[in-house]
Amino acid sequence: MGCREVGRLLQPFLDGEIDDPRVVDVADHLDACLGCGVEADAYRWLKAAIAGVARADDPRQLQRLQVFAEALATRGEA
Amino acid sequence: MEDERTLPRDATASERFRHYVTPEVPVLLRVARRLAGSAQDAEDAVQETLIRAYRAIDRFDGRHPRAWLLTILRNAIRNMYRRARPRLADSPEELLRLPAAGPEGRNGTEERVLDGVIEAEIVEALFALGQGFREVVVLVDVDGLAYQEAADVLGIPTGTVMSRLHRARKKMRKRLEAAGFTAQGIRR
Repeated sequence: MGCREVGRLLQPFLDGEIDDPRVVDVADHLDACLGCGVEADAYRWLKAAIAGVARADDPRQLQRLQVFAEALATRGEA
Repeated sequence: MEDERTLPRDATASERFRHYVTPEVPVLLRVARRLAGSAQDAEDAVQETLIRAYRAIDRFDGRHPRAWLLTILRNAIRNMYRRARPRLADSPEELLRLPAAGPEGRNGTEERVLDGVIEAEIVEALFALGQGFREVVVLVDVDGLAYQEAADVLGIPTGTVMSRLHRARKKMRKRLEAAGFTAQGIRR
């Protein structure tokens, strides 16, 4: 696989959106090609940095909904 | 995203619900917080989604449970606001992590300060994007949705999710690099 095709597949690759045989091809290329490897690192970092700004979930709200879900499931067993 | 865990054919509705629905509650809440106008509306919408999912669980074929639940959620929120397409709640405050409180938050190690600087730059770069671009980045990178799931939530084609996402990241990268951030997240 050449740099051009890897460039086209890089974002879906980083997002886990491409299938197995191509995942291996892209990963092999990124290991072997310095330019594409650096490009991948830049987007990996960006993706992780964006994920890091997520507003924290409200644990009480989440817990209430999990209790609610369990109550629905339990009601079905009664 | 096929669900690889298998359930016995004769699983009860409760077992199916716990298997397919319960694990998705955190994602549903996160997406609801994006789509609904308030925290309370988001919680109500997720409750409504859980009830509808429970009623429909016997008819659900077991494929793509998250996509199925997100569609129910989207409809629940649409009904709540009676408008064609939910807009993502959209302000820096909505996006930003709550500031760390208590003594550990005031320790002010160099790493924490740097983290704060990067965080502020990232949020600024996100808000420099148009809304259509930002909402895709938020759903995929912050909330962890697959392309197809983000497309379902926003009611746009998957190809549009991909192209917006890629253009948005390019823009953000350019801006962050111009501000002195490299792949290591350190000012040059």
